[in-house]
Amino acid sequence: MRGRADKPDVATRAIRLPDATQAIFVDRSGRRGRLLRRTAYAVLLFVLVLLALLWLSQVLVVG
Amino acid sequence: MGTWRQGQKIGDTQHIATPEPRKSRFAGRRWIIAGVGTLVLANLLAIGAYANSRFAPDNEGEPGRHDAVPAAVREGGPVVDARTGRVASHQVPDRTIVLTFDDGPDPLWTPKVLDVLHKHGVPGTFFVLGSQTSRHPEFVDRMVREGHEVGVHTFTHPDLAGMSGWRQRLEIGQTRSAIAYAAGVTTPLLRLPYSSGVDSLDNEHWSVVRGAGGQDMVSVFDDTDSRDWARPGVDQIVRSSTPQDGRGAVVLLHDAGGDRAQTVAALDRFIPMMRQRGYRFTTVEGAFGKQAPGLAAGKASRADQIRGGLLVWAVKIADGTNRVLWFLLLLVGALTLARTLVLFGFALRHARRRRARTWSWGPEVNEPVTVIVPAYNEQRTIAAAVRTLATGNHPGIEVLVIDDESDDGTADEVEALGLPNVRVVRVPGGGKASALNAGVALARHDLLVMVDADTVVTPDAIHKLVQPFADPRVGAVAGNVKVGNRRKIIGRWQHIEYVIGFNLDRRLYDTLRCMPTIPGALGGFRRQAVREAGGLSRATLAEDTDLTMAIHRAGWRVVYEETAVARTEAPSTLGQLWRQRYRWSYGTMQAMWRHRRAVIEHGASGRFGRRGLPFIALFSVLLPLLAPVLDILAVYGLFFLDRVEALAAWLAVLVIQVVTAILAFRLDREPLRPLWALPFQQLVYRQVMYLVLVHAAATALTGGLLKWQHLRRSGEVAAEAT
Repeated sequence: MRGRADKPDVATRAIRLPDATQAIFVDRSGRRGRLLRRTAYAVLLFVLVLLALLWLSQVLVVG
Repeated sequence: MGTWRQGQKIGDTQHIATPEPRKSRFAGRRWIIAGVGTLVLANLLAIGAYANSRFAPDNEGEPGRHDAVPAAVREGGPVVDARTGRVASHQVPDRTIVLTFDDGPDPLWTPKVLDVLHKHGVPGTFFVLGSQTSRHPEFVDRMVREGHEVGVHTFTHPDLAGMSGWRQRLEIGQTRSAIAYAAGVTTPLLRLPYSSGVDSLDNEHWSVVRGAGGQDMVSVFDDTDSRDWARPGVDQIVRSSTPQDGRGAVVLLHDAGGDRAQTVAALDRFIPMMRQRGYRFTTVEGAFGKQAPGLAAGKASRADQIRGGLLVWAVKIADGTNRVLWFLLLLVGALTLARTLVLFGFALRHARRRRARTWSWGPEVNEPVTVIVPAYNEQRTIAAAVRTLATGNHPGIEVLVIDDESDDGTADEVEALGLPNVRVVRVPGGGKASALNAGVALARHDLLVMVDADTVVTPDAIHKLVQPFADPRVGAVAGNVKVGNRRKIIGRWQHIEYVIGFNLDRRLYDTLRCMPTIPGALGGFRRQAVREAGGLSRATLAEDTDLTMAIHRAGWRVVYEETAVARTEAPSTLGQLWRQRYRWSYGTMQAMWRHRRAVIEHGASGRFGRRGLPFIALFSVLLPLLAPVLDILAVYGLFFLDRVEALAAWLAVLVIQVVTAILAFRLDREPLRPLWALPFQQLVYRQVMYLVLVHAAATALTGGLLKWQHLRRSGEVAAEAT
């Protein structure tokens, strides 16, 4: 007769202790920084284009 | 050897608390973002300043020479048409009134004027300002919808005479664009600011009229001037507006530029009165259209409307930015004043209480003390620091130097002193927090004092520092730290800052029981309090602030003992100062975030959370972050506002700071001589302080890594101590 092993206790999970040395605010994936940077670039670019159009249109007014 | 996390080595002999960040590819681009942001702000401020140009009422100034003005024009009618190069002047037909309104639209008075015209079923001609049209385009739209006529009164109401040709074209062209956006029409009518009747036309204004003709504009003057801008009373306005002997007239009135209640009332009386006399009311086009074709408004082109839209929104956004900046300035002013008054009140009360003869912490504390000195490459300063600590007059001082894997012979330097009450322990490099934790574990006594390796203390400093432990509720004590290296101006600036910080801020925090930081340079602790707080954490870069907050939350009192004095070595270059404050600012924000739950907790933790954290957030983070507003508006004031007023406001801020500094120096019994550097502190140091905070906040927001930077010691303080 072959032996029979106990079924693994599926309810048991390893406890994940919080990392006491985890630096606060740091996003190791860099995703947050990338998102903020790209948003800042997009907004600034948009504003710069609008400003350029504004000044250009005023130059045309002066003729 | 080193610090390991999740199987990865994150720190070793480099004395870092967090992993070394890679050189960010975006490090340089941050400055580009900051530069572009500044450029955009400068543009908005310039547009706002242009659109807010102050102007005086019409009819100011005496006319100049008029020999170049044709007699036919000077003696002719109020409409001067120079569009075709051939000058024509036109008179208003008899018993005809053309009501004209200058300087609008105004959100308060223009609707009232329009309502009166609507009530009597009378059209008018509104010569609008481009800047006002940009702010209130809806009223220009209403004018056109209700059958009124719109003309140009320039963008900012300057006296066009004497202005360069391009500026004249700009003033007229911009206003036409704004009207095109607001009402979808284009107008050929122009009224020059500061103009009146044609008889007062001088050579300079005549040249403007001819130039306007070149832009297809017809200049409209007046026959009767109501002089309503002087608010002479309703009767007088009616009298001044009334033409003589049944003649027709273009009547000059104003629907903006001040209180126009008299104008509105006069209009309500003038219209029925003139109708009774057989007059008809019409617009400029209605009165002169037959004599001078092409006075009617046309449909604006799409390009004109887009151009106008850009201008209108630029003015709206610039005005909004201006309003926000002024609001922030008021907020900064109010917060600064409130903080100053609170500081004065609490600091004086604290000082009086502490200086009273009856003041005592309790029975004298003579229990032995372990002084922990974490050191990493402090060979230049460690000997002086340890000697002053070991020879202090407190009974039973043990100095425990924790050498954090220095490679410059720091530990050898201490051992060479041969002092019997000094121990040196070499630990694997793991950062300041780890070294201090090792010191706490290895200390022989329960009273601990933590001192930086670049700091020297007065002989009685340790004894005085531990006296508050007579009160069993006290878990930590902050000492009074001064800057030792004050020869350079940067040292003096920091000296002023330290004296104010330690003699006003800390006294306030002590009174409110919300001391946010026991300085790393000199702080006393009960070992039990440190243990209950969980020791020193590497999670933040301001381990002293983090520990202090944790001790508060563990229920211990944290107090200030101003008589325990230490002198520390402060950064001696702007670069070093920037790095130090960058770490402090970032670390403080980390510590506040780490202990944010204290705000909703009960007991001592909640008391600290609801009292201390908002105070620090408001006055140590928000107020410095808003501080650039002061400088932005000071520069703006110098260029665009009254320079004397701007300078006076800036000096008022300086006076507040001088008074604050004098009080702090007096409380600390420090000589006032270094205060001569205070005005210069406002020009460089203050800006560096808030830019550092902005930089740290940006790093926190983007999730960037910040390393623990080791400062290069000059050894100046240590040399003076030996």
